[in-house]
Amino acid sequence: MISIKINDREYQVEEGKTILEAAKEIGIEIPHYCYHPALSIAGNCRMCLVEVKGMPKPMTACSTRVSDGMEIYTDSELVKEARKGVLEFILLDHPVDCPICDKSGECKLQDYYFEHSAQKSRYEFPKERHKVEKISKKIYLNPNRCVLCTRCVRFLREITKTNELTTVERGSHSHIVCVDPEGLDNNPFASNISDICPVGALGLNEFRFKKRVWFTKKVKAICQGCAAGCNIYVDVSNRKQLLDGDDDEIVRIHTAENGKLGQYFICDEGRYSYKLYNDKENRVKAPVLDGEEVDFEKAVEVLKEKANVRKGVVILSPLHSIEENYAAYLFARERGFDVFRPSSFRKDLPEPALFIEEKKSPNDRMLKLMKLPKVSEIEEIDYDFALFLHNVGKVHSKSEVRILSVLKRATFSVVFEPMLTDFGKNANMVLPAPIFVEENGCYINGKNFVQHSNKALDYMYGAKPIWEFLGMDFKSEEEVFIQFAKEQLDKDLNYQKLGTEGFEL
Amino acid sequence: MSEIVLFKQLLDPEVRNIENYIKLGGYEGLKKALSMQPDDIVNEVKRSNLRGRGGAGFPTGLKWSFMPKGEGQKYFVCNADEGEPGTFKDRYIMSENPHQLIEGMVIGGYAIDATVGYIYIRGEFEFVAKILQKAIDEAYEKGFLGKNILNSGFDFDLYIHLGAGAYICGEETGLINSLEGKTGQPRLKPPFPAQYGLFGKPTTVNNVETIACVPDIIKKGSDWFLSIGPDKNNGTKIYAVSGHVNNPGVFELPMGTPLREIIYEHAGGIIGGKKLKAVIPGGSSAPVLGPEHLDIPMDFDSLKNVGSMLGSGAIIVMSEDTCIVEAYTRLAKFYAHESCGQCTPCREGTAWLYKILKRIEDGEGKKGDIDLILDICGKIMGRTICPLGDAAVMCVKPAVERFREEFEYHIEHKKCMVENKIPIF
Repeated sequence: MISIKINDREYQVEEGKTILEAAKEIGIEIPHYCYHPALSIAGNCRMCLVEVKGMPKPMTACSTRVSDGMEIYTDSELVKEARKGVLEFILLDHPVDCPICDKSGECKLQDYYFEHSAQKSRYEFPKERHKVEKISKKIYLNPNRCVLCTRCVRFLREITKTNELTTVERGSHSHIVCVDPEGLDNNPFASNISDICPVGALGLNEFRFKKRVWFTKKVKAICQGCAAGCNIYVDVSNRKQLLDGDDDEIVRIHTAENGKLGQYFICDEGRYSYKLYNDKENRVKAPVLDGEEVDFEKAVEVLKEKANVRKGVVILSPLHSIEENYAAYLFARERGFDVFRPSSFRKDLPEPALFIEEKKSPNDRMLKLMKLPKVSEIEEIDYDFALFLHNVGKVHSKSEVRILSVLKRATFSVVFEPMLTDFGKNANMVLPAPIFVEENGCYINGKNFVQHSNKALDYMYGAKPIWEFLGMDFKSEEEVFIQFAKEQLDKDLNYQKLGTEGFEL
Repeated sequence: MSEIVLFKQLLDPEVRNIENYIKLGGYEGLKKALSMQPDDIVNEVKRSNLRGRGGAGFPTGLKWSFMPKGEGQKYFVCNADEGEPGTFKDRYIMSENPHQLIEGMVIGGYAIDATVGYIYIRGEFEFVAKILQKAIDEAYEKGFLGKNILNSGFDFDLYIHLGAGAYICGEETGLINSLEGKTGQPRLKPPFPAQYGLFGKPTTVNNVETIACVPDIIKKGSDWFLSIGPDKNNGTKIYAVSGHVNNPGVFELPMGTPLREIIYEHAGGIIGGKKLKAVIPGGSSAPVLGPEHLDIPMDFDSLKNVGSMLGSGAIIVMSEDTCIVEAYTRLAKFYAHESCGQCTPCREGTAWLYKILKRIEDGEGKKGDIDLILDICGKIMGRTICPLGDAAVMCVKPAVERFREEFEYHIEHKKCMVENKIPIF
């Protein structure tokens, strides 16, 4: 640790950090466009200029490393004037079309302009214009809004190593173009460039003109697509602020960084998976008993009666949270029922795979850690009661066949799932399960990180957590989690302790 | 006649042929160098006070001493991307006396332990590159290049690389990127080329004129070099004089020759006996001087003292018939055109400066334009990745300040105050 001064206050910071990183840890935000923690340092936007005592000119905080005794000013007149200058330069050719720009509301140019400049432009010449184009089926590029931070260029050069975008021409004519004749369609990570674009130059066609970001609620969650456990933001339309009368639904999924996990991006498959959850047609809208919808009380009553048997089985799900799984597990344990786990559905990895994992379920590791037997080990017996937890997604096809046969042969079978599938169709009873954004839930990813996913929407269509159907006395999701952590991980954990970055086992 | 260090063509017009060059004592510096320890060569160059002739005037020996010792590939690069407006000195060294550059490259390579050298020459100098290539081929034949040079055990290969037409590639890290096949955009410093240069290896980049000084310094010793020119500004300098003079051209003179002598004796005075209005002493990026500076010695420190710089030693003479607004609009256009577009203040600022100047020149200037120009200059200076932004400011700002009246006249009267003006650029 070394000692530095920022704005005349002394701080202890780690050696080798840049001024920008050190300040961020202390809680001092230095404005920037081109800096991104996962990309190389470009130093081109000049927005992060700070004053360092003893230096003849302002220094870029993104590239200058702290040294012992360094005295930094992030709010001096020189720094304020430099920021104003950079913002005025950036805005020279900018169309200032915020009213029709989808980045509006979360745009760094907008934010910094109001925070650091708020002055009228003195530029009186025609603005440089370029054509807006679709650079893939999913992404459009509007070079007029671009600040040339080259984050997108560096992402495609350094992370996916596919080089589709580059800057061309010189001076004020510089702009970003797509040089791949096939566009970015073949890049399974391409849509990240819309997240890392600090302004509205790169956007997703699906989100274009769809929703103003201030009419959405942004909630941090865990992607359900595979065992990587990527941190995501789920933007849901916020009913309270809605003007257009939309129902609650997920508007988009985008990246939430997790530095501890080393995750700064998500794959396109995960990003566009939100449509699966918005599928209202197939949602199980009430408990269904032998083809007839019944109310919650009736469902609880029937379950209580049918589960009062000796030979029962509960099949958990790698697609469900720790909370749902563990409540069902406790239910089985209390009655002496067998508990099994299906194998996860697997999918071949793209090239390069980057962070994507082969197992297509978010919580495979939990069931594995509990050392539960696989469904393939179920002996040829007919159960009196069978409960299977299922979710949006798939399990391994061999497990699927096995589970279906167990459900069909059981005297009374119950499937807990949000969307009606073959499992539900072959069961005596279907229970409406919540989708992942309707409840708090934790997941253990392939790297043994326990991570918490937040509730974004209220339970819809009569969905309830499994313990309520099973008549168990849990006050909250967290209560189940605490018990799981104590019994299965031998850890004193709760949601607060997991924090925003998760807990590594 | 004063000492000739570089322009040996004045002694023998055919010195570009290796035989003639050897007859004049060529490659003796190399022979001597190869019998010395590399560190002793670096120290000898340090003692000679040789300073970079590309513009910055950085001590060459000191630059060489930054190269790390020990194993691993290192590179020695010659910056022959001569592009500063008004500068046309390096091309005459390369086309008339190429072997002196080659000899300097080998000595420098030996001194900094580089076994590969590159001459990055601007694309427009293709005809010069051909002459240079012929000279390199001759040097290979004679064993001054290649493996085991003069049985010393030292290997040195020399390649020519043609640029593709960008002023910014004269900036050393932009040059390195271009040499690597990348876009010619300067790199962030640190790391400096001596730590992380060409292909990520330690690299030294020197100007043509600088490198061409080295063979004679080694051959004749640093004391001889120190005897030419004023203290800390030793050696000769090639002054490239252009503009409104009777005899424009390149002149090799001792460093510190007074500006008046260069303009009125060597360059034959101003056309038509007109009065001097302004003079740029070191290429377009050097702040403009006026008639009161005529007696200044043309060396690094003297020019720095009056707020300008020697730069590349390119003297642009403007007579009283010059429209300063027109001249500086043209120069501002150059910087706007050559800005690489990487960092914000230079990319946007240089173009904006040009547009305002153009508006003034076209008689559409507005009240407040001059203050706007000066304010923009302040927002570029010292805030860019490389010195191009600074160069544009050092070009435009002093001119606007010095000739403010003329700019104001343009804005107010919508025409030039100079009648029968003679264009300069």
